[in-house]
Amino acid sequence: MRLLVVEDEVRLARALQKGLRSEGFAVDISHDGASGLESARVGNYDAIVLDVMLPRLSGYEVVRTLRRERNWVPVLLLSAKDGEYDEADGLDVGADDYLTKPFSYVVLVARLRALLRRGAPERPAVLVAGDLVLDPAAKQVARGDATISLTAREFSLLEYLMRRAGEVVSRLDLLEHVWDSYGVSEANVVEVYVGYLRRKIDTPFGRAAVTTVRGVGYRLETDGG
Amino acid sequence: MLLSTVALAVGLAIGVVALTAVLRFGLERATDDAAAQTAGDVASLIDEGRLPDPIPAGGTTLVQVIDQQSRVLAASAGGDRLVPALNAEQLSAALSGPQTVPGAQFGVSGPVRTVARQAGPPATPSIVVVGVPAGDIDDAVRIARTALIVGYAVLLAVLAAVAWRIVGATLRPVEALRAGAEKITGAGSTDTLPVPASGDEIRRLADTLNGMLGRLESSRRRQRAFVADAAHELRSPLASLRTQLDVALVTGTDPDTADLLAEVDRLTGLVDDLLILARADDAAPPPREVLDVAELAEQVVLRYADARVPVTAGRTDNRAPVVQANPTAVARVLANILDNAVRYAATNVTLSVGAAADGGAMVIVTDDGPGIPAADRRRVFERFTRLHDARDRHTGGSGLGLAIVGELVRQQGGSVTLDDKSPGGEPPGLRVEVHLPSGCAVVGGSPSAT
Repeated sequence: MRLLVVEDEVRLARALQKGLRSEGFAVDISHDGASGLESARVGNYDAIVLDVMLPRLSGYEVVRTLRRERNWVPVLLLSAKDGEYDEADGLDVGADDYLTKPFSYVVLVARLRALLRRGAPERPAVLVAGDLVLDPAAKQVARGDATISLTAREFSLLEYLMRRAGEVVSRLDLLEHVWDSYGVSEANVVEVYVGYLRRKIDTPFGRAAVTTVRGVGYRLETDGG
Repeated sequence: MLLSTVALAVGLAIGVVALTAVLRFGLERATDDAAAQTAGDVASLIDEGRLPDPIPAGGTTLVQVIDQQSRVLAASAGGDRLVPALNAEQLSAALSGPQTVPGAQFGVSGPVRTVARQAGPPATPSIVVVGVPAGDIDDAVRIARTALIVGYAVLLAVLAAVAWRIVGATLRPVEALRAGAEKITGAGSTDTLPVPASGDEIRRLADTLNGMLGRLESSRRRQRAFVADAAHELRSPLASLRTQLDVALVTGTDPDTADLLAEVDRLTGLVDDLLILARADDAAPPPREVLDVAELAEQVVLRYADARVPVTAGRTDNRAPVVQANPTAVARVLANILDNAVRYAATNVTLSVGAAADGGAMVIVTDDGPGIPAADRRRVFERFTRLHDARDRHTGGSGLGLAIVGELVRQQGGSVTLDDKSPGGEPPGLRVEVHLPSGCAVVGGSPSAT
């Protein structure tokens, strides 16, 4: 397993390299954000340990750039900031885990193992289908440059469809994942809400992102319709 | 409030007593005068030997004329013709002044005021006794007293109510201020006191107090930000130390002692800097002594023999400026400025000492590094400021160096000025001027940026 450690504290980086190597990892080191990003792009790493406060490019920016480039390598952020918003921001830009300095090396290694177990499937922080963009953290939806205002239910419906873009999702599936057990009073509630959604994301733009598959359910087109 | 009402009530009570006393005195005097007048008239009739019987007397006035043997010689229409109205004792008292006797003796109800006087020829003297029923006086006084007490009670109630309202209206903003002050807990609240709409002293008081609260709050916020920043700064070397030791423990190898020491040095430096700043915030400045600035500067420069760029010391003139200052503080100021210069200089750093126009000392440190943009020159004196967000710790330092320079120079009464070394040059470099006044410091100087 190959790891990249991006950390501007030379001695800390050296100690991490030494320890992780003894665990059997191959470890490369970068001392600033820009060179870290470059290494992450070209080296085929299995995980990245990334400091937040880095010279030239912050850890947040490195993660955001990697995710924008559809690079799903697992990232563990290290930060001296322990504010809950700092941690939430780090995870929302696309990192997979967050440790506050000073951290326990043993915990760091265990978390790295957990990240490696999960592998690197696509887990975008921002969902994209063509020009249709949904940001779950910011609760924002946009079609091209136009911001679209959705209700909470419409938002969850679209998020679920976008997470399974290209697949046919059954009405029952939607009912189970978008509505809670007690919320449904009408049998055709899914149809009604898909209608609402189309009126907001498709009709004004002359598009058809949500396709009805007769007798089965709905499909969100990967190209945004 | 209660006190003033009680005082008012006591005053009014005294007034009632005094007024009724005066009223009674006046009425009795009028009655006595009338009685004496009647007695005089009757006496002159006796003297003239023309005493009629019954004696003519107006209204309710009763008159008796008696001889030495207490026999009644004559009486007015309502008077007793057989028995003298007064006994011997009362008679002798009445002869010396007006007396009050029970009305039964005169055959009337209520008290009677009596006067008596001698009349007639000395050989056969007789005594005129005049009695005037005084029940009217008591009635009048009683009515007056009742009226006064009732009137005063109403007056007192009205005055108390008015005073209550006025005092209440005046003090209500004060009470609002008090209630507002009670609500301010100091725990992270940014509350202010309620400001009354009026434009009076209380409003000014509220404004002043709110200003004070605002200043306290901003000072508290600065302090808290400083503590948070300090904690973050301390975390980095701690994290490095912990990881190095953790790794050594887990891998069963020896930690790199030099690396550990380097982190401990960093921690020590950071704690030292924080302590200097904490002490600089205290009121008492360190003791001053006569200081040869050029000599001290040369000693400081000697420590930079192994620096990454050469540091040269020089003098701008032949005079050796002497100032009153704390040598430790000045040495720290020069070292921090030199540290900074060495960190950023491309090829060399120079330090020169000269006399300032006011007789103090002027130390100038220049480097040929990237310089500091004019817009940032004030900010670099704030705590934990690193420009460019370049948190490159090999070059970045703790972020406290120039803050300490600013504080210590201010404490010594001097000033620091930042400027380009070669304006318009590329890079512009940096020129730091430290001015130390010669004599006793004027406290209140501050780092300035030009």
